[in-house]
Amino acid sequence: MGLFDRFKKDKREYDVTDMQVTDLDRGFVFEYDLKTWQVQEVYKYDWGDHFFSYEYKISSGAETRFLSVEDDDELFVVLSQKSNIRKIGEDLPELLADEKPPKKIEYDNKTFFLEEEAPGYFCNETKSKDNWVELISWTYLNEDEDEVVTLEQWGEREFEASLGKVIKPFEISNILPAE
Amino acid sequence: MGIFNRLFKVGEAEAHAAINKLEDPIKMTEQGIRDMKKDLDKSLQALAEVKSLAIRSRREANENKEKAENYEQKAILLIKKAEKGDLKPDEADRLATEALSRKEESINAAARAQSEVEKFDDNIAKLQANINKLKSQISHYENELKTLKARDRVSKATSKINKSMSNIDSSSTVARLERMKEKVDQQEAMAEAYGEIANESKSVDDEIDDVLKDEPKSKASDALADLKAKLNK
Repeated sequence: MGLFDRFKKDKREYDVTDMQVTDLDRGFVFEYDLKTWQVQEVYKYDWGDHFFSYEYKISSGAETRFLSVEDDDELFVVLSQKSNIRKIGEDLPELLADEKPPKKIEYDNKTFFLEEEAPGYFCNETKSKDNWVELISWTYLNEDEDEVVTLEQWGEREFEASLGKVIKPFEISNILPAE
Repeated sequence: MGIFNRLFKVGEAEAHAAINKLEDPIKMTEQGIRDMKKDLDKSLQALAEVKSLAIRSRREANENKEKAENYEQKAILLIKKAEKGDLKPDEADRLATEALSRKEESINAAARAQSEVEKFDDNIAKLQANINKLKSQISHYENELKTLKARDRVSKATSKINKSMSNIDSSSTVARLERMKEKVDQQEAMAEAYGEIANESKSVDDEIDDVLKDEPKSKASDALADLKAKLNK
């Protein structure tokens, strides 16, 4: 280790007596919904204008979920799981490919309204911090704004979908750091 | 006690006094809290590690339970196939026995993983108790530090006020007023002295004037008349 390497911060700093959901990193453990979860992978999204958000692949042993954390004046935390895009809307991939995202989606007897369309870059920090991939994301919220449908386009014709629910940051508790 | 021992003791006492002066209780408490937070960080990391092992064991237990159920289903299917005539009974028995043996292995593995989960849960409870103790100590010291800082601020402010109240030195306002008062006193004394000197140096004429100044003018006129009368005699 060189002299100046000591001053490099590759880890975000945290207050050990007051761990926050924004402090999460790989290997960190926390409690949610009476279960213990561990962060397995860390994803970073660059939405431009120096605005970044994070997503964590988390596992409780029996289940795998994704926890997205966006700090835009106030924290927007979403716990989601992958879903089949055609299960949500049969024609969705074609509509998205034609740059015609629907203004609303009917799914599971609920209506989700298009909230935003955001082009950006994705990086799986667990694997490499330099490998950025382009994507477009469409976020749909239900009327109460507590459930989310996210659609993503990767490359020309690759589409993904996930279903999530908005949770309060305090619901993520007992956060423990990893080495 | 020899002279050198006494000298050494004096030196030792002076050194301690000098070090005591250097010690800042606030900075020392802050450093203490930082050290405790480092310990807490390590303990939390250890707890995260044990919890992660518990998650892994729980996953293994679940997977092995599912495997056991799967092998049982396969054994049932093999027997059913043999009953239908799709498989030779001997072969079905052999494969079903093998499947049941694997089911047993999976059940044992699940039980082992479950027992590990319980051990980890015990460790987690113990570590959590230590961590709670450490957190409570840190919180106690942080509160102490807040009080210490407040007391320090009050003490500094009080000391400043007291100093300005008691420390009437040559530069203070009160001293300047005192000096001015002295000066005025001196000037008044000088003025009085000059007055006295002036009185002493009066000429005879002055004296006459002094005596006559209060006399009514008529008296002077009478004296003049008397004088004129004398001259005419």
